[in-house]
Amino acid sequence: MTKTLPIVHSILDANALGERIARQYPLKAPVHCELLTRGMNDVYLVRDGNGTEYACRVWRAGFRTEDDVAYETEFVNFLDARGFAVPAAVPAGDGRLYAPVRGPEGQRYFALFRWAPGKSYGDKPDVAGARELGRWFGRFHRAVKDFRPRRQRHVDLAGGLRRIAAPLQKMTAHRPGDPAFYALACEALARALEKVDEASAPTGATHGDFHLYNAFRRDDGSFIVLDFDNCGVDRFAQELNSFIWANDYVGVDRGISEAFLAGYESERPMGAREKALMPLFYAAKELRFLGGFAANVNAVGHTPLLNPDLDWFAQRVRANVKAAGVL
Amino acid sequence: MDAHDDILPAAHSIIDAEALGHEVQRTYGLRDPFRCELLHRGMNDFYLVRAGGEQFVIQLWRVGQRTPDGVEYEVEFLEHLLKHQIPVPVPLRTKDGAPGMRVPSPEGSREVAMFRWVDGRVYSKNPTASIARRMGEIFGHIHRLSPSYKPKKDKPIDHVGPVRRTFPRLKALVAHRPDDLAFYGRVAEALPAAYEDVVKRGEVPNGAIHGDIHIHNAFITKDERITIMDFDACGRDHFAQELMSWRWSIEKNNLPVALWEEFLAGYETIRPLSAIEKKHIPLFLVAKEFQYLCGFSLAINAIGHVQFHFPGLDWFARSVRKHVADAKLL
Repeated sequence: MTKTLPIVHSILDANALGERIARQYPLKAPVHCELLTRGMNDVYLVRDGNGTEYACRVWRAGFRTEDDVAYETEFVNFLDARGFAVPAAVPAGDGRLYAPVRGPEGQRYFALFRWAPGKSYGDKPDVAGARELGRWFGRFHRAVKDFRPRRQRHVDLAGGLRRIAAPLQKMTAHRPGDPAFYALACEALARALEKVDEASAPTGATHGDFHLYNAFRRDDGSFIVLDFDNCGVDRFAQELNSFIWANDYVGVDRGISEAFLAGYESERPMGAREKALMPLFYAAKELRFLGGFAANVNAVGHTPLLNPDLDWFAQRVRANVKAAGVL
Repeated sequence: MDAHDDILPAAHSIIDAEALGHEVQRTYGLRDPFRCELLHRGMNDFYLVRAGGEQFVIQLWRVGQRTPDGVEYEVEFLEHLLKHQIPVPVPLRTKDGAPGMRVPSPEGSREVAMFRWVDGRVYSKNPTASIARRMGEIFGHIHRLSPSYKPKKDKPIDHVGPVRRTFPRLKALVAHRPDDLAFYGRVAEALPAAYEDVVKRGEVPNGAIHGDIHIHNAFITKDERITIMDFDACGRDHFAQELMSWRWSIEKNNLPVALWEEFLAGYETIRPLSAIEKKHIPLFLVAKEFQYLCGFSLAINAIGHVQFHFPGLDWFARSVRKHVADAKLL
């Protein structure tokens, strides 16, 4: 064995990345760069000569297309301009909101975002905060009708479920019954989602992965909402179920989700048909999470997804697919 | 191609699980059906292996983090402890009886070891005083067993060289904090000198130790069986230094001091500390903390803040000053 083993992901050298940022962004020298976290993507802390801090996200190779990155950076700046507290993307010297960079494993992209101060809301969630975040999302969903991106990004719920079926089957091959069940569940949910129309469940640009840890509470008590990596046009009800499901996943009191929904509906009341579809979107979120884990596990490991327990999912997905009435 | 098309160098890479699994299966003779998947990226990378209905874990060290001798020391130490019923992970040997293997990666050769899967939840999820006490007892036993462990090659843990070598990295990390920069510079001179003096005197008992016991390095099952995990940093060191790893992790994670007191009480039921060991506790606590900070500054760009559970530079600024004052180091 003399040939180098293939790699699926690399951590770019922070100094080299810092030099690249210094060349491409109008920041005061010296520019310091250090690795902050490795999750689904890599995030670096950047500090310029004024002491101003930024977060630099470097997307994994092949994880997002250039259009996806362009959409996200444009979207957060749209929201920032509308007064929503989000980490806006900082323009590079050429005016672009992101830049390509090549890693050993292939083409990647990076963007510099304004630093989001505060403490993770997930560390100390409370009902009042959940209600406020619900209102934030209600206003947000009303505002996005004015977002006119240069490039489109649609969340393909049904297609996504069909794509995760294969990695899910592979990951659960050692568990009798699970691979066949997940294949059926993916297809059944995909078909049910394809039948949902705009009148029943309105769509618009969404955050795509909102959970307790994607909001920071600032010193003045207000919130800043982070990490729009999964953003795109989707059902608003799907967005709400992302939050509710994530709370159930980490075992947060149901009162948090209820307060969030109440706050949301005070800004954007949901229709009866939209409410009736909530179990479908809930089941879809759960299965997409598990499928996303199966598809990405060998680049990021179990930890960023909080060590999914396959026994727990086997039981839960069966119950929730049944509750959604699709199997 | 313009300058922006250059490939940026990587500080670390994640090896494809299937390719790694293939090599490991061949070398260890593991049965089908076989699957290897990435489990965790920490100081090193860990992969979950399912083979023939059993589960294992691959530890894949980062380049330069471990030598084959280091792997051998760890595996032999674990085997020694297991012989004496100490609850630690069970290492596997290759078909040829080797303690590990090497795989070539883009950044250089990396060491591999295999272990049987360990059930349980990490202690930090529910850190109780009763488990802390039992862990203290386990460490008392580990240290008492140390004299009977005869490694093929000694692995002394150096607390002096790493501080001197890595201090320039720490300087870069805190360059924007001039007060800390100056203070840490004084610590970086005083600490190695004080530690060298301790080593030279040779009065403090030492032997094979775990090397990095903290609240994330023990797994607890539902019926409260404990397994002490991750002997990556094991080697010969002062026993009292080992205890400071635990104590410092309690402080770093802002947990009740009772978790340290119970650990120590449990430890001393098996191996009471001598007066000379107790005398050196403040110095060893500074050594643990400052070496961690230096190690963080060295590894940060391969690991990141979050995976280090890094409490922040403000926290260190306060904590190191307090411990240095307690130890009367400056």
